[in-house]
Parts: sequence; C-alpha cells; structure tokens
Amino acid sequence: MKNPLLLPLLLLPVFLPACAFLEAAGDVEIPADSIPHAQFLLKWPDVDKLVGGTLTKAGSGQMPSSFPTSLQDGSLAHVQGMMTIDGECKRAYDQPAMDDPKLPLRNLHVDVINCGIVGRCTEACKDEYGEPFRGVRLWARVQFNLVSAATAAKITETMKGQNNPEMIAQIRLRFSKLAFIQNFTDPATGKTSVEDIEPLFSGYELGVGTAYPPGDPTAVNDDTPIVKQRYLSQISPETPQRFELDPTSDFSLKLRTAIVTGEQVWIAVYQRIDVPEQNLYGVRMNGGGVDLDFQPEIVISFVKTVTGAL
Amino acid sequence: MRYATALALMGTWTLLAVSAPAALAQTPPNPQTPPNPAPPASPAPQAELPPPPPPPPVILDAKPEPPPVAQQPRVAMPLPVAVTPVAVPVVVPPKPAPKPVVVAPPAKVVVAPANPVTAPTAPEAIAGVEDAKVKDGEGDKKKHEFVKGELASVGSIGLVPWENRVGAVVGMERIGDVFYAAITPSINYSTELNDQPFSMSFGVPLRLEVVDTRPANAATGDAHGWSHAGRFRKQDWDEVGDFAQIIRQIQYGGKESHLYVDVNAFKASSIAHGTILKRYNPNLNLNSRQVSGEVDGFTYWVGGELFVNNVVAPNVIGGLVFVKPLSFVNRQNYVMRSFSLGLTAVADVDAPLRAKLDLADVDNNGIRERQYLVDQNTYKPFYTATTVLATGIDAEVKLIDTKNTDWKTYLDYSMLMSGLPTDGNHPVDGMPPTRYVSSGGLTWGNLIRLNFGNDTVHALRLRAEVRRYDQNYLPSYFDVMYEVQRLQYRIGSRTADPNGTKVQAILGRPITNDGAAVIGAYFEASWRIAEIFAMAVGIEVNDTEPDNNLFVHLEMPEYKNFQFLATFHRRSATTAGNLFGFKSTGREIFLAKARYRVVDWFHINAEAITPFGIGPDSFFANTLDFNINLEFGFGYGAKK
Repeated sequence: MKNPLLLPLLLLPVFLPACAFLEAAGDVEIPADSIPHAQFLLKWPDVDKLVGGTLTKAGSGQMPSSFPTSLQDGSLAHVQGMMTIDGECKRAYDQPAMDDPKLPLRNLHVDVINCGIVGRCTEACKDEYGEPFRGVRLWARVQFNLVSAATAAKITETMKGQNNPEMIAQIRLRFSKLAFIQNFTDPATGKTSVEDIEPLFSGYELGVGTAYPPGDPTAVNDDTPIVKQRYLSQISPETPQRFELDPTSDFSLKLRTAIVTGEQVWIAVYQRIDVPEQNLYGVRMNGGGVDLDFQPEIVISFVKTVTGAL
Repeated sequence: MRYATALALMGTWTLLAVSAPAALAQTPPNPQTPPNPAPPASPAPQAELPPPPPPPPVILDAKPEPPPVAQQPRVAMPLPVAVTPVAVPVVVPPKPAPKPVVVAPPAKVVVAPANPVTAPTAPEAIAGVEDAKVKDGEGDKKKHEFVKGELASVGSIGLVPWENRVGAVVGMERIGDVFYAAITPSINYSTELNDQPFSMSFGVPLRLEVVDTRPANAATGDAHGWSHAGRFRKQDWDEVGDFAQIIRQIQYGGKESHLYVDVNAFKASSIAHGTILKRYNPNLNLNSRQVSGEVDGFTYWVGGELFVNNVVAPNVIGGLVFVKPLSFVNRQNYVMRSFSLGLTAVADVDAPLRAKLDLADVDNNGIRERQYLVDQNTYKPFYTATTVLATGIDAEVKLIDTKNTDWKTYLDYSMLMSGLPTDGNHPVDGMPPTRYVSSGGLTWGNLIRLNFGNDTVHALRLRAEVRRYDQNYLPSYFDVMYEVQRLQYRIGSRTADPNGTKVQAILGRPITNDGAAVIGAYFEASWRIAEIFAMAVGIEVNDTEPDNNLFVHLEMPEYKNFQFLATFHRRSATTAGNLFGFKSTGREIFLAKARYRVVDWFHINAEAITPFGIGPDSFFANTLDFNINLEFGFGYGAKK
C-alpha cells in the first residue's frame, strides 16, 4: 500500500464502535439479590382506633338511634357519616411501628378525608384534573427502608468508590403485586374470602417522597408519583411491571445523592385512593389493606462511573 | 460518543456518483419565472439571450473523461470547474478523480450554483432563479454565466461523489437502541435522454444486527443484548414500500428546464417562495427513510410544481400553480414577463395531533409517561393523526434586471388550517373531538442576486422578508425540522408531552395581547466563489413567539482529494438573543461531513452530526454522533 494512511483508516471503524457499545451497553443494574424483595400486606388501621374509641367526638349520645356502636363491620359510608356529624374534613391515624417488626416499614400515617360536606374541604377534595370530588379519600403514608446497610455496601462496591449522583441512571420499582383487598364474608355460607376492590375506587396513586421524622417542621413536600390507577390492572405475578422514579424530580436528585453516600436510605411511600359516594357502602376498612410485592431496582451508569473517575 | 449511527442513511450516500448532468439538474431556479428565451416566433433574440455557441471548453484533468461533445445542446453546470461559455476556459481542477464533462450550451446558459457534489437543497426552486441568460462581465473583457439559484447546499444531508461508480459502503448504523453492521452495495449511472440530463443512483442497504442495548423483556422472553448478533434485519424488506429505499436518486431534466422529475432520498425541498414549505427534509428523522418526489413543468406563461415527501406512501403533499398573465401581452419587457401570480397548497394528511405514550411500558424500562409509544421494530412513534392544510397566494415581479444584478420582490399571504382537540383536561382515547382553527400571515420579500468578477465569479445572494402574522401562525410551517417537530415540537425539553405536537403547539397557541399581530423578519445571505468555497447564513426572528431560527453553512465542494460540508441550525429559540448563546436549546442541527479519497478504489467518509431520532429515551432528541464509513468501489464508463 503506497498510501501510509490506508491501513489505519481501514482499521478505524473496527475500533471506534467500542465507544458506542461502551455507552449503549454501559448501564449496570444492581443485582436483585442485593436489594431485598419487599412483600407485605399494608393493612388499614383498625377503624375503631381510627376514630379514637368513640364513634363521634360528641359522644354516643349524639348518634342517631340506628347508628352502630362499633364500626368493625361498618363501611366507609358509616365513617363518612360519622365524620359529617362531627363536621370533620379529616381524621388521622399514626402507627410508629409495624405489628411485624421484620417489615422494612415504620411510621405509618393514615388520613381519612371526608369529601362529602358541600362547600367544605374543597381544597383537599379535588380529583386529578382539579375538579371537585365527592366521597372519601384515603391517604396512607409509610416509611420504607429502600436501601439497607447491606445494599448500600453493594452499591458502593458497584460504583467503584465514586459518589456522583448522576451515576445512578435509574431508580425503579418492579411490582409483581399491587392490589387493594378486603375480606368478604358470604352471608349465605359464612365463608370469608379476599376480594379486590379496585373497581370501587378511582384516582389511585402511589408515590414516594422524603421520609421526614413525624412532626418535622422542616418537611417539604417533594412527593413524586410513580404508579397510577391505570396501571393497576397490568400488574400481576405473571406480568410484573416496572415503574421508574422520575429522574427530573427534586426527590430523585435527593434520593440519588443519599444512595451514593453508602448509607442506608429510608423513603416515604404514599398511596391514595378516592372512593366515590356511590361505592362507599362497598368498602370496609377492617380486614382490608394493600397487598404489595415489589422489587426495588437501581441502575448504575457504567460510563458515568468510568468517566467520573477521570 | 456514539460511533455507530443510522447515518449510513446519509453518510453512505457518499458512494453515490452523481454525474455532471445529475448535479446540473439540481439547479434550483424559480419555476414561477421560467427561462427567458425569446418567443419562438420572434426573429430578434432578446437582449438576455446568450451569444452563439462558443467553441467547446476544454477541461483538463488528471484522468480526463473522453472528449466532451461540444455540440450537445445541454445546460452547463459548474461542476468541479468553472466554465465560461465564450472564452475557452481551461481550468485544471485539483482532484485526480474522473471529472464530468461540462459542455457549453449553444443557446442558453444557466449556471447552477449549488454544489454539484453535495446533495442540493432546492429552496430557490421556489422563487429565485428564473431567467436563463449570459451576462457580460464588466468592460466586456470576458463573459460569464450569471450565477443564481441556491449558492450553497444548506439542508443537504450527504455528500455525493461525482463519478459513475459501483461498489459498496461498509459501516455501522444505529436504529433506535440496536446497532447494526451495514453493507450497502450501490451503483449509479448518468446519461442523457432527449437532450436532458438523466441520472439514476441505487443502493441496497443490508443490515446485520450486532447488539441490542434494550433491557431484556420478560414478557416476550427476549434477552436482547448480543443474543441476535448476525441476524439479518428483515424489517427493512418486509413491506412493498421498503423496496423504494433502493432509490437514492432518479433525476431527469433541470429545474430550469420545462420538465423536471426528481425522485430523491436525501435532499431538502421548498415550494413557491418558501413561506409554507421551506427546506423541508423528509429524512431528518434518522430512524426512518423516505424517498421524496418532485415534478415541475412550465411554459413561458403557466407552470406548476408537485411535491410528495414519500413516493410510496406520501403524507406531505404540496403543489404550486402559477400564471404569468402579462407574458401574453409583452415578453420583451422584463417587468411584464416576470410578473406572476401563484397559488400554493401543502398538506400533511397524517399530521400528529396527539402522541401516544408508552403507558404499557412495551420496552420494559419502567418509563411510561415520559416517553412516546414507539414501534419496537421500526422506532416510529404512534399518534392520533389529523390533517394540516396550508394554502397561499402570491405575486412577484422583477424590479431590476441588469447584467450583474437581479432584484425581484414578492408579496405572499398564506393560511394554516386544522382541527384542535376540545377534550381539555379529560383526554379521551382515540380520536378526540376537535374544532376548526385557522391562522394566516403576510410576507413581503425581496431577493437580490449579484455577480462580481470575471475569471473567478463571486456570487452573492440576499433575501430579506418582512412578515406580519397571527400569533398562532408560523411562517414556513413545513420547515427543515418538520419531520421531527411534527410530533414533538419543543424538542429539547426531554419530556414526552402527548399534546406537544406541532399542530397543537402552533395553532393552539394562546392568543395574548388582544391578538396583536406578530412582526417578524427573515434575512439570508449566500456567497459562493466558483467551486472553491461557499457559505450561507440566515436568521429568522420575530417580536412575540419563541420561534427564532438561525443557520450557518460552510462548504468546500472539492479540494484535492477532500470534500467538506458543515451546517449548523438553531431552531425555535425562545428569543432572538438566544440564537447566539452558547447554551444548547436541544433544537440544534449540526452536520459536518468530509470525504477523503485515499486511493481510487477506497474513500473514507467521516461525519460529526447531531441526528434526531427516537432513541433509548423514546422521545425525539439529538445526540452528537461520530460516524466512519468505508467506501469501496470503482468508476466505470464515461458519462455521455
């Protein structure tokens, strides 16, 4: 070959693809066995505990004559009726520790919002389109140990000692189960079974945010939605579904920063459902809850890990 | 840095050999003002007619073609050499590769200034060049062709070699998240048919998968990755329409001839004065490839253009008809014969109205509402479609027509029409209910063309427009980025907004300030020095809307064994000042292409580009890609 450039030019395309493949195939997922699988039933609080042992704040003497003395078998319609009598927009329930201490959960907080009083509670009772909602809204917020100490060590190892939050390309949850259930007792046979109440509510949303200590005055709302109602029907053990945490959200940046510190991380997981008025009788709190089965996933950008070390 | 790109769709054009006649046919004259010979019945030639046929020019070359046929009544092209029709120019081009023969025409000469070795943009096919003529140089020492038309190849997405060649291009491509080894056997041929240039160029892209970077899909059980390495990409050839992609160019005649046919896979196109469709490139979305078609035909009194963006399944269809009513009265007076009235219409019959999102996470990456629903085989997004129609009327007349200066002025009023969704905050699946919306704009434009010099002609071209239009109107709605912005208008925001389509972004704009009209301006300047150098700049600003645009173009058509082309566009800047900032808006187009002839049988093509396409994030974005293609082949035959 007379031209000295010929050979190197011929070889150039052989080497250049490495750059592309490095980036394209450069995302590494933290192995699933390094991040504990989360599977639990998040029960609604005992309805009598929720109302504080008395059905109304005014006392039983104020109750209508046909009103039950306990709401153990009552529906959300009864809860709403009770709150309406008291003129309440919201009742809250807190449970600092879970009944099962092995669960990676703590600080359960539940709000029951009464959206049945015309002209009141309007700010708290808007649907996802900003229009008025009538019924009962349930909020549950619990703190979840996303990154345990062992997981943090594995992440640190994978990231080769780097601590650039941008190296975390994606944080996502892979759900195999996400179902709202309640016990149903057949009045004819007396047998109890579990039923899915998804058809009875709307506006479902599961999201995450910063896990502030209860009552923290510095708390800032950075809740970021992850799962919405339209996806619930897609989730099953046979068809697990992934949902990423929006990487552009403020919380995402905070979380990525926290993860790369190599310490364990707690996050707040919230869920919300809206039960419209016509379905209130079909939803009972006792024996019900959210059946969850999900795998947190963290994807590390290998390229950014490498270049970050340069 | 990504090396492999889908840019073999562009870069691999470099195997194509577009001959002199082919490049000649790319000359973009104004169809509204056809060539200007005297009426056939007139015994006296018009002042603008060229002199009698000169002796044939002689082109010297390291590898000269067979002797040119001087008698061929063809229109000359300034291919790698500059040619004058009168003096006997002897120009020795630096390139050792075979050169096309340039023949001086016996009757009329039109010099196509567009770079013959680059894919042409043809914006001035719309409005610029009209009268074929030869003008005297100053002092009558020498004569040269009056250079007009597009002076630079703004909008070109590829370099085109000049020889008749057969061979293959080997390189890497990326389509979506999948990398392919690409081999493209190609051939081109140029000849004459009925005394008109006729060229054809074909290529057969064959792709073999290398790696699929998508995550494994549990639902389908497809592991992706390297599991399908070596697999032939059948999707390239599984539909009848796929076979159109072997066409790279079929071109007959020139824009200044009475019949012009162009079937093309890489060029940008314009219609009329460009107030509706300007430098629209159907192939800017690099995940898809379309072969566009254009047919022009005209007489001295009437004429028209027809354009489709895809000859197999067109969705953008445009046309122009014009009449030169005063030509019936007097063709000797340049004012009267140049006056024309035109009617233009362009429609996108498959315009995205609302994009669909990946709510089912078909790519299994967990991203749903931030990315579009994309066909995982073709990487084309899904959307609900509507029709966008733009129509316009215009009038133009030439104010000055001297041997070195042309000045024409035109007035154009255009309208944009479509339907917008009325389902507001409660979007419905499928086709939403819509309401009719229209808007319009007025443009007053001037086009000035100047030539300087004799031996080395400097051509200067200036276009200035003043515009007044509705807030929900956009001049040149079908523009250089239409193919990607039609679905995602605010590219660069890196979010998938289902209602962020161009038709909603423009026609659906909230009207503010009591509907006060937008005042805008457009200025464009091009400068070309023979085949040595060309450059162009353009700026488009307004006082209200975030639709300010800028482009800069540099071109070295041929220097020894080297070709070079670079274009930078910044589109849809929020303010005029943002056009000049260093911060990227995400709506930039950068194309830099170089072709180096190592030896006769081997060329290497290098590109640095920012292609737009649906990538791993499943929304349109541009990324900086570098691409190297190897071109093996040999020239054959001699062009006739």
